[in-house]
Amino acid sequence: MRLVCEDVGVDFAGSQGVVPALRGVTFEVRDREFVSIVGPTGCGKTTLLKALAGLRAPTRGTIQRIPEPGDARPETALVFQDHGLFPWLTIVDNVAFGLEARGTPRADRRRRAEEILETFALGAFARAYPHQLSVGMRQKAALARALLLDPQALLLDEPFASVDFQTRLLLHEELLRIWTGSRRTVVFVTHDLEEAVLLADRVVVLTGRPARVREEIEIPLARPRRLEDAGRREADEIKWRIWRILEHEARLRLAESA
Amino acid sequence: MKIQAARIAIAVTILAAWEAAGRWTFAGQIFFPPPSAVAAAAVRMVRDGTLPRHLAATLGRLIAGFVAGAIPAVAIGAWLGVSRRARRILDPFLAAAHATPKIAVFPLLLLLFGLGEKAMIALVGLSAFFPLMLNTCEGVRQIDPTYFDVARSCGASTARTVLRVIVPGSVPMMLVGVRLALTIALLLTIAAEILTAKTGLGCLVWLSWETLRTTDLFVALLTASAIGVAIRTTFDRLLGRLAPWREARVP
Repeated sequence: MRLVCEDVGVDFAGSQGVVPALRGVTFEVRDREFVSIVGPTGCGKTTLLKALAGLRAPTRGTIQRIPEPGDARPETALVFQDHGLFPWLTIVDNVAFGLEARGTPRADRRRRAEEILETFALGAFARAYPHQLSVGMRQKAALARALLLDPQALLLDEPFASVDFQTRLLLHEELLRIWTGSRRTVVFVTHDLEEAVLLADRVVVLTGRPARVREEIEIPLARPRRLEDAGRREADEIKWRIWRILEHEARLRLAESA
Repeated sequence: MKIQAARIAIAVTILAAWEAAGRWTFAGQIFFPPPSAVAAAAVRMVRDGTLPRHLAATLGRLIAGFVAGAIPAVAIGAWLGVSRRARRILDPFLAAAHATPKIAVFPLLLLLFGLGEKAMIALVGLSAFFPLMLNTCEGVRQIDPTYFDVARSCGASTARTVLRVIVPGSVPMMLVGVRLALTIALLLTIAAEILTAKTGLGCLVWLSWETLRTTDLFVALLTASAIGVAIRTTFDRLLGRLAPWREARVP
């Protein structure tokens, strides 16, 4: 799946009139490419992702989702920030929800949900409720729910922002393994620069609100990648390059909030 | 365990003091008949069918009134919960209607429905309507909008969204509303019975006062209180059963 954003603008109706969240965002995600999107906190990254998922219509411009020829799988699946698992459903029913919404019979979708939970080492928690799981496990379950839909494009909204550092390393490894196993288009929104560089083929850097594309940076690290690649010199140089782009705005933001 | 023992000790102390005061003081003999006398009266009133008859009358009005109020309350509450626009338009009217002490409406209801069951049931229904409607509305409104996004991003239909998001998302709050509504409905049932009825626990309390049969008064009072306790414990349990995903956070 190819995602083409052309001059995308999204406005919010706030209490003080219209607030632009995105303005003139133009970029493209190629077939089966892994793209990270970074930008200052609160710059509209989530809004952009929701627009890509079709949950929010852009106020201006166009977003095209172009399937590869003959690909009939669902177009997108979104992994929400803070998991978005329904607290009233067990893990297996949560993971099966995408299939349920598409009309898969109960026994079938349960079996498939249990299978994918096994591969995530969550089989023992199938009948548990989300609040009984650790933050990291919840995030894995949310990832499993999206993957069970087998989407052409997987969209992730800061999926690992609230997990601790060590768990995050494990989840990075998991995500790299999954993506290497079955390559698909991925858009990964994050504010963690190291994570953005380690995982992606390309990093799209956004400016502060209203967000525009500031720069697109190719990541030349070889595939398949390992966690240790984050420590390579090329990776490090790119990380600091991105930081210098964002630094000024981060400082402004810090001063504003003080 | 210690807490339980302390509770039993307090209960025994109260009963013993009550018994003593009822037996050996002059005021006690008139106002606070000893528990043993109240128990004896309760047995007599169950045997001769007085208590079951009055209890049945009260429960009948309570349930009929509650159902009459609950059905529109859930429907309108859910609608208001979904529609911000409807909520904003109707808010002042609902606030005013909710703030009106319902017992003050009773004479009007008597005028409309005449003396009898209909007026009482209407009053009970009216009193149950507002707490349940407001809780249902709030229950729907406080559902995290992310869950609606999740449903949409998975391609869920409206019916499935109602079934999987709106209903379970609002159930805990709605049950709290049911409990509140039943408690208020019980209050209004007793009040209406005191004012107009020839049956029911309210009538029994009032009749006992008029004839100075304080033992009977206590029997009726304790029975009414038992209904209230039953409502509370039933719903605390129901909340745990129907909403196992959350701790029963009941005010």
